[in-house]
Amino acid sequence: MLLSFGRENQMKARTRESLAPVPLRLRRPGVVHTVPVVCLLLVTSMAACGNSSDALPGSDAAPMQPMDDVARIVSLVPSLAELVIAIGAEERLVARTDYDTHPAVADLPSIGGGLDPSLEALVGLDIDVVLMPEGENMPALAARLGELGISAVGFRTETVDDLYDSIERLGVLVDRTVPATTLSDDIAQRLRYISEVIGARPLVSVMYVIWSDPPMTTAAGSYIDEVISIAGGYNVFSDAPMRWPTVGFESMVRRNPSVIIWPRGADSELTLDAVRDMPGWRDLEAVQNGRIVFVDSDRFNRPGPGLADAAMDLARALHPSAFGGSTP
Amino acid sequence: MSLFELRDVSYRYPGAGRSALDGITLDVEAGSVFAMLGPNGSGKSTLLRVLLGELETSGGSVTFSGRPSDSWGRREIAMEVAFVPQAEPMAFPMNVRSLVEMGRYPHIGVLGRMGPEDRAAVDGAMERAGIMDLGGRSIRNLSGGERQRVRIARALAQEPKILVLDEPTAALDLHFEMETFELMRELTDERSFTVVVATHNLNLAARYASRLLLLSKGRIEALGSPDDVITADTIGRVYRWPVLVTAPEGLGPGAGAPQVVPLSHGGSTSAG
Amino acid sequence: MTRHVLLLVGLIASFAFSVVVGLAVGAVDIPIGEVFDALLGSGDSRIRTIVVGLRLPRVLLAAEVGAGLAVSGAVFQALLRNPLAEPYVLGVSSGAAVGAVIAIVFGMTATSMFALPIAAFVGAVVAITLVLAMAAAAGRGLDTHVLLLAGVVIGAFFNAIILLLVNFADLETFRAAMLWIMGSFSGATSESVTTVAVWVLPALLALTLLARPLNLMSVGEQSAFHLGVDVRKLKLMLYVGTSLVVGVCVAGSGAIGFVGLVVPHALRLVGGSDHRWLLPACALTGGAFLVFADTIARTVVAPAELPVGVVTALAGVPVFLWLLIRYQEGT
Repeated sequence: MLLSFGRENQMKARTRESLAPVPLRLRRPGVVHTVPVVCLLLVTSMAACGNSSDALPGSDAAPMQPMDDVARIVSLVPSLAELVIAIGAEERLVARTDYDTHPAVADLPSIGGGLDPSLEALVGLDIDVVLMPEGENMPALAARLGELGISAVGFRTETVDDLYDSIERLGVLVDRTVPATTLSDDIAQRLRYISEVIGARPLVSVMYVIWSDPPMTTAAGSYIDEVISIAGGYNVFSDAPMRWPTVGFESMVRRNPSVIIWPRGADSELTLDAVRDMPGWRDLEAVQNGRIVFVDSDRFNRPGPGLADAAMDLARALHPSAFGGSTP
Repeated sequence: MSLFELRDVSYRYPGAGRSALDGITLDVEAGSVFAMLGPNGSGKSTLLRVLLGELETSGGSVTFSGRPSDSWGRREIAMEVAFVPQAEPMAFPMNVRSLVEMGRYPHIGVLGRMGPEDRAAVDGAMERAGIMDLGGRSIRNLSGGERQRVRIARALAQEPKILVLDEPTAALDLHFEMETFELMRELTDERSFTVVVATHNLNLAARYASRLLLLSKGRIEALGSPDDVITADTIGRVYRWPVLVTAPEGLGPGAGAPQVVPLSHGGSTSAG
Repeated sequence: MTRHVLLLVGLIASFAFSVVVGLAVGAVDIPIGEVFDALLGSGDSRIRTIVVGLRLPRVLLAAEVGAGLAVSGAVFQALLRNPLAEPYVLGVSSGAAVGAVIAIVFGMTATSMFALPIAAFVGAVVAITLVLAMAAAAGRGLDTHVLLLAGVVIGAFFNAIILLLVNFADLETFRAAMLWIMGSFSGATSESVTTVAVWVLPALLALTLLARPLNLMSVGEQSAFHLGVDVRKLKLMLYVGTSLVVGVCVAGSGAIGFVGLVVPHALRLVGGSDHRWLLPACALTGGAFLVFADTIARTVVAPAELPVGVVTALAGVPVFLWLLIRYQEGT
């Protein structure tokens, strides 16, 4: 497990290496990846759906300043990294987390789990700026990074409005204000299009499945809930008292969503037939009618550049007639 | 002056319905064996604990060597009085020598070191209790009788003037029982020790003790010499079982001491 | 006696070795020569930051917490006369966890870096107080059975509160809370190292000085009393003092399990239960063990980290079994 970082040679060939001295060698992750990754992946991917609105020190008070060109950046969450890539500043990213799947960053060294990164790796890679989502833990982490000479910049990543805000601030940070505005405008325009096409059609009742056993869903205030509204649906559990309620099958039957939105990872092989066998789930009308929409969990977890695509895919699934398709 | 003086002592356990001890008045003289007898629940153990200051009386006074017993410091009293419990809840096995060395704590204290006189006291105690050859062994591997001797050795290592034993032979076989009582007599003969022993064994108490106390339901039923206390009436009443009392010859020292023989139902009885 | 001296010398050596390994190994490969340069203040500034700013506090904190937990475990085992006792038996870790979770859930960590450890410590103190109060109210003066029962009950109560709090919180909070509870040294700073040291080191010294009366207590309270120990005063001092040590350790690094239970037992098997040797040995062994465990936790899946409690359990069990087999036959 103490393999040395074998891709050094490849790294040296890339242009971004010429911006800084050769970073210290990192250990490759060992074979024993599964257990912590499974646990943390589950919780982190759900955690990514929402966090508190506490501000990082200085992030709201001072206006965003552009960083100088040689700033070496890493993002602690994939969605922010994807935004950086989407506005054309990917050469600033010099590291990634274990959860980044975007091909543009696949070859970069990893700094660990993301929300608790390896401080040693950050220092060893000469990171100047860390992009982080705002949340309870973040001020402590930001202070710790500050002690190590690393700047931390916080972004709200909870709602669609947060997304526009983050795009704009990121644009200023990496001096890509024009591409940022273009991206925001593009997203906004596509969301308007979806609204227009759906028009005054009745909202389709849905339930979003965060976890199946016990069933866990989302309520009002989360990003997912917003996307559902944009796509012309209404979340049957939006009135639940907690944002991520665990619900009983009885409530699910009573509220009777007509469509079930089921996120799954890229490798998942979950199918409609499998769900039809699950106790509890098989009693729901939506399941019996085969109205399950499988969506990409990565895209739905946090607001990112793929928001418009996600909303579009969902809108098509909920209102096929509006988009000229047939019921899936 | 008596070693222990109790005047009208009473004690009630917190939350208990009745007193465990009531109106106890007695003197314990130096240089003899004093035995406490009585049925289960009569208050023997409680009386021992009150005697040694482990419990505070609800009424009455306890004096040790002329001073009230709660005016003595713990270590002070431990240098005069050593207590041998019936058993110990020891969680982790220790070796025999370490256990006996604990007897020097009252003299050494928390931070002191074991000096030559301490080691001599430990050696002497182990020899007296007959466990010189058990020194390095773990207490876990010893029999009940051997463990009792280790506890006695530890008490002797304290170099006390008074030895108090709480039912020392309750779980021991005849061999160890006799050895223990013989040891008690030797100590009082040779070194003008005082021994206070609570025991179930009426007959050995009658032979080895010079004064007996018979308790029943927290009160004194009888106090005095073996002949005064061990009578068929008294024993039969207190233990609620008909008995015969004889004084056999040829028992060695303590010959002529009254011995109790319980009767079977259906035999002739003198008490109801 | 000489046996104990030899064992202690060996334990000192292994402790020193663990510190060296902890400083030399990490997510970033640094040659040992440069590690020493960094400690002496010279060399590349990044390497100095990593070695002195990141690894050194972690190693020191792990050593302190390991020592504190192991010694506390030994003391509780002696006081409660129960081989299953361990530092969290009086509900301390549950109390600290409630404090920490409250700080996380109500966003106090946003305002101050110290909010979390202080809240955890306050929670620990509340738990100890409740347990001791319950035991005292039962009227039998800190009786061991009552204490154990109170500890279990209060611990269960606090655990239920934690579950209730995280149920209403959002998932990131939940994750933060669970990770804190599992324990980690990644947040070690020179402040946390110093704060823990100020509490733990003097306490460990005091406990070692009280080794003799503790030996007597572990044989039996009645026997200890009659040998001259002021049992009531000693019990109160030891329960409160040791619980505070545990509270500080948990506040500093979460509830790391297994160390406080197994290290004292392993050392008892090897060298016996005399606390004059056992307590220093526990401090050295607990410290070394936790430094090794933390080093493994932060390198084996680098740059990600395993929770250190996972490593202590997985590593500790086989070692302990081996000791059990080897030494049980001998006696």
